[in-house]
Amino acid sequence: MGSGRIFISPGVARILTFAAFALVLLVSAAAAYFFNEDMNKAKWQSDAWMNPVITQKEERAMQWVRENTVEREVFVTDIFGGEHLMGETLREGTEGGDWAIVPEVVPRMSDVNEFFKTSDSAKAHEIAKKYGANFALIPDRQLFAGFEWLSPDRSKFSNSDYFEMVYQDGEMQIFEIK
Amino acid sequence: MGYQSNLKQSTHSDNAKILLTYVAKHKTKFFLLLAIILSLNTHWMVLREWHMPTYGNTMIHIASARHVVEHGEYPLIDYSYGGGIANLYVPHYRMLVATTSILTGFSLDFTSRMLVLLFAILLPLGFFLLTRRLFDENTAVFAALFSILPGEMLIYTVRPLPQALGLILLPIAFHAFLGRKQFLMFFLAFIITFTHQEAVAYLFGAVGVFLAFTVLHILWRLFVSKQFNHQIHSDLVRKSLFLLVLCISVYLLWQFIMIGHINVFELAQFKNHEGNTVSLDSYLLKTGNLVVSFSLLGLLISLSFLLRNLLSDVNNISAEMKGGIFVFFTFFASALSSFFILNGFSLSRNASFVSISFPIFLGPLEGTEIIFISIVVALFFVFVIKALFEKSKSFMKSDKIAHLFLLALFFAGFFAVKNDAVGIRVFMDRFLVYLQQPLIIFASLGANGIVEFVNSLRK
Repeated sequence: MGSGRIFISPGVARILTFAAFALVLLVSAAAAYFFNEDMNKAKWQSDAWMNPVITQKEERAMQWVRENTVEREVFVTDIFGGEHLMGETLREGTEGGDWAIVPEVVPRMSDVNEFFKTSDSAKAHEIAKKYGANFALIPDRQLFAGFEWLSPDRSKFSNSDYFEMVYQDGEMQIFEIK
Repeated sequence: MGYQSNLKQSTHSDNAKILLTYVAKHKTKFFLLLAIILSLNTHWMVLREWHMPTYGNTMIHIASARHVVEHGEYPLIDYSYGGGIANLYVPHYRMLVATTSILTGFSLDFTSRMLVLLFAILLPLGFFLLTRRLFDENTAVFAALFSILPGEMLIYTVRPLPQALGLILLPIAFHAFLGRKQFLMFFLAFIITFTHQEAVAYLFGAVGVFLAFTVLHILWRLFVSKQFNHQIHSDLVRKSLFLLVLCISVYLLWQFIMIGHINVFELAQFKNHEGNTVSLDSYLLKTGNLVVSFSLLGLLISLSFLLRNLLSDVNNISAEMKGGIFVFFTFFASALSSFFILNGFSLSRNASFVSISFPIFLGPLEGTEIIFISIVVALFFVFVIKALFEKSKSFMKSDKIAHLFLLALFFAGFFAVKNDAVGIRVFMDRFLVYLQQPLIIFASLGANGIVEFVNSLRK
């Protein structure tokens, strides 16, 4: 007592030790629970970004592109199609890539968006030529040209005065622009 | 039998002791390994699909890398948007992918995914190194573990992107900045400048804010505490200035060579104000509850530490008054923080009713209950802080520079995320992942504060 220490009997000490041990276990379990919950939330958030968007038919079409066109040939593409095309074949899409110093980039996006949406062959042809494209890459998926996800109107390509289909694998099509 | 039983029991007890001693001796390595395994576990999804992820313009980097592989030179003309424009994007990541692919013979897709797994290993290690430099090994272990948790950090490091490399290199560069290896620091700053524009912008901002803090610290030392240490302060100012000049001049030289001018505000991202504002909800979702909550605690500990140091420098205030100011500030800040968390991460009263259902059921809470709980929490925090200062041998004895540096990282990140408030309005959401770097370290400081508090009670 003189030293200022509190005397605890062995029984009480055992109970206190057990309580401390249980508390540590409880806190550790709670920490592990919240850690696991946050980690799973992070995985869930990232999961959506893993989708490659492009299709396997699109990937197979790159073989034809390499064999039948020259490097830096321009294709009408959406953003994902253009970036896939440049990465796999060193060809260029009307869209896709770093837009930091691209002149008039927003009107370009608007035009390419219209190219995919319109059923007017002449209008689509004019847009393609405006951006120096000799081919159009129309994949078997929805397209994103900067404003909205859309299904391309394929009816415009039936006009043989402007377009000729040069590659087909189901709905994956490549058209030459005359 | 009795003797043999006792002998067996004793052997088991000895083995358990040996195991516990071994784990205790190697706990840092054990937790680091755990952090690396968990990081690999979260990043493993990059191998899941038949093709590498394409969100985030990943394939534009593959185009430049493929050009290097197929032509043996870096393309100065970009493949983007119909081509014909200069390849302004900085090239280090692309060169890394290309050279790794050439050296290993792997496809560019597989190489990119393997690099992601390498980044997954380096992510907790970088945070461990920086936090150990700033504080201590125990806090650093928490930082390694917490680096896995923010969703935004995973989103930007699980995709094969230059951002991922930049985010991995930044903590290592900060570690070098605070150490004595100046060549390593300048080398890493150079590498980061050529890795990603946002990463170098954050590096520049963080060192810039730190330089401002250092100057304020020098002024305080000169005019208030009269304890100016010429060598430490001039070294910090010199390093910061060199780093700022290096980053800005290297990047602007690159931009000038590529496009003939140095006006970054002429770039489409600035002109079109690319990026979204960061709402409180998205901040919470993308940072995670554990890092958000513990980082607030860490921030309070850091601010308390600096306040106590500032007060100790002032001579014309009595010790009682200093104690009073310290307790008042600590109480007020922690009550406000507690209220903010319990009130659904909002300061406007009754913004939302929080229901605590784990580990005990409390709620839904109403405004008055939240205020009452916040007062209790704040009183407890004052007790914790005082116990940490008075009883912990190492925890609150870290260098002031460490706390100033961490606050500089925080303010640079916060300003970048809220740059819409000053009219810049570019990439606010993209900078959230950079703000998460100091938040992870603050969270580890908060978590280790709790451990140290428990230890101090035990003692």
